[in-house]
Amino acid sequence: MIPAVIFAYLAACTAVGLWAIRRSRDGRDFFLAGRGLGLPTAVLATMSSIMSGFVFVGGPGLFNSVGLASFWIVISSSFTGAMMCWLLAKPLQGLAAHSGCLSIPDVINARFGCRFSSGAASVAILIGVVGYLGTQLLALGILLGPILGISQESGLLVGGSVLALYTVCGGMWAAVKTDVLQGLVMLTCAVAIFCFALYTGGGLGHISETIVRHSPSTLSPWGSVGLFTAQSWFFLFAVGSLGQPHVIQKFMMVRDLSVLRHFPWILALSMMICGLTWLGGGMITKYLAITGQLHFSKPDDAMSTFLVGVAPSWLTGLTYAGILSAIMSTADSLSNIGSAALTRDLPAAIGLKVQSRLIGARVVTLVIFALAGLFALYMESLVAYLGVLAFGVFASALTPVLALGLNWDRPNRWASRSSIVFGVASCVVFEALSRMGLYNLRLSPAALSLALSFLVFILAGLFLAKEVQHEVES
Amino acid sequence: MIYLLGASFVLFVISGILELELLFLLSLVTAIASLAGLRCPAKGALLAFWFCVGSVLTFLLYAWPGNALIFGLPVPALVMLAGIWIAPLFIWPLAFTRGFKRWVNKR
Repeated sequence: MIPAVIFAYLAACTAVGLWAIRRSRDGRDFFLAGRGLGLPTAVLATMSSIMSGFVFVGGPGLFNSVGLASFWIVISSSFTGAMMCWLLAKPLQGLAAHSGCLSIPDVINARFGCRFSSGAASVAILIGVVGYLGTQLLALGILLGPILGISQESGLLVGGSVLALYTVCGGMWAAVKTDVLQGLVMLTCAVAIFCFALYTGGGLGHISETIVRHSPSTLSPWGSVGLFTAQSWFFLFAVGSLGQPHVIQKFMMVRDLSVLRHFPWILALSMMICGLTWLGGGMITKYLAITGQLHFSKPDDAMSTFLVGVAPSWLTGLTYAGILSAIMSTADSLSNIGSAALTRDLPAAIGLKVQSRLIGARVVTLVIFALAGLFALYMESLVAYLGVLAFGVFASALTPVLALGLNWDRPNRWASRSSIVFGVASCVVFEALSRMGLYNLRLSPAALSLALSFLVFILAGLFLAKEVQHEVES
Repeated sequence: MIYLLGASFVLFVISGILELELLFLLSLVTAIASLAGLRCPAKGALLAFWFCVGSVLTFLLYAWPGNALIFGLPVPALVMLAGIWIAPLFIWPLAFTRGFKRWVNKR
C-alpha cells in the first residue's frame, strides 16, 4: 500500500508540473508565478516552503535528543507571518510590481543601487541553496530508497527526477501549484500523527507523566541544552525567517496587497498545525522509547522507526507522503531562486548581459539539481555542514538588508555591502569554529552572527552614510 | 525605534556572551518587538507582545522545576506553549488584520 501511495503522490506532482508548463512563458512566470497568487495559494506555498522535511523527521528526533527545548525552533511560527507582512510584504510586492524586480538580489539592487551588494547576496543565496537542496535531496533518497525497495542513490534519482521535471518545465508556477497540494498533504499528515500519538500513548497526561517520571528535563523549557542555546534558536528562527529568500519571495508573487489581509493568522495557524508533528511525534517516540516499546539507535531514526513499527500502514503512507511533500516543496522554491541567482543576478552583478530567454533558466535549474544531487551522493559530510549553515547564512546575510534596509531610508550601499559580507563571513567562520570545537559560547553561532550582522548594518547606516555623503559632496 | 533595536542587539550579544540570563531574555524580546515596531502601526500590539512574551520568559527563568500537570503538561511547559506559541497568534496576526487598511494606506 505504501509504495502505491507514494507513486500516486509522485504522479500527481508530475501531472501538476506538466500542466503548469503552458503557464510559464516569460521570466515573470518562471520566477514569480506570473505574480498572480491569491490568499490560499500564497499561504500554502509560504507554509510549505518554510516547513522542510526537518519538521517531520529531524524535529521529533531533536525532541528525543534535547527535549522540549527543540520546540523553540518552531515556536515563533505564530507571529513571524505578521512580522514578514509588516516589514517586507509592501516593499517586495511594490518592487516586483513597479520596478520589475524578479528576485531578492534584484530588490537589493533596486533599493541600494549597488551591484556588489546584489552579487554578494546572490553568492550567499547560492551557498545556501546548494546546502539546503543537497540535504533535501539526500533526505529524499534516504526516504524513497527503502519504501520503493531500491538503493538510496536510486531513490534520490527517482525523487530528484520528479522534482526536477516539474521545476524545470513549469518554474515557480509549477512549484506553487504543487506547493498547494503538498501543503494540504502536510497539514493532514500533521493532524493525523498528533491524534494517533495521543491515542497510542493513552492521552497527553499519561505520556507527560511517564516522560517526567523517567526524564524530568525532557519537558522542561530549556531541555538538556540550557537557556542560551534554546533562546538563541528562538531568536534565530523568529528573526532569521525574514531573510529566507525562498519564503519571502512569495510576497513578490501575490496579486496585490489586499490578498494579505488575513495572511498572517492563516499562515500562523497552518504552521502551528504542522508544528504538532514535532510535538506529537517527539513526545510519543520518547514515551515509547522510555517504556521499552520502541528501539532506535539514534534520535534521527525515532520517527521512521515509529512509522514502520507502530503506526498503521495508512498513517505510514500518509506520513511518508507528508514528509516527501515537505522536502519537495522546500526544494522546488530553492532550485528556482538558485536558478535566478545564476542566470540573472550574478551576471548582472558583474556587468554581463542578462539572458531573458527561459531556456537558460531551465538548463541552469537542471544543472543546480545535478550539482546538489552529486554533492548529496558523494560529499555527504560537506552537504550536512552546508545544510546546517544554510539557514544561518540566509538569515545573517539577508535579514538586516531586507527587514531594516527596506524600512529605513538612511543606510546606503556601504551599509548593505558591509552587512552582507560580514553576515556570510561571520556565519561561515563561527560554524566552522563550532565544528572544530573552538567555539565555546552557549549562544548558537548563527544567532550570534545574525545579531552582529544587524549591528554592523545599523552602525554603518548611522555613521557611514554621513561620511560617504561628505565624500561625495567634497 | 532604530536606537532601541540597536541597543537591544548590543545587550543581546553582551548578555549572551557573559551569560546574563534575565538581560538576555529581555533584550531578545525587545529586539523582536522593536524590529516589528519599525512598520507596525499598532503600538498597543507591540506592547502587548513585549509584555506577554517577556513575562512568560521571565516566569520560565524563575519557574520551579514543577512536576504538577495541568491539561496533561508540566506547568512550565504549558506556560511556554500557551504564552509563546499560542498567545501571540491573538496579538500580532490579529493586529495586522485589524490595522490592515491603515497599513496599506500608510506610505
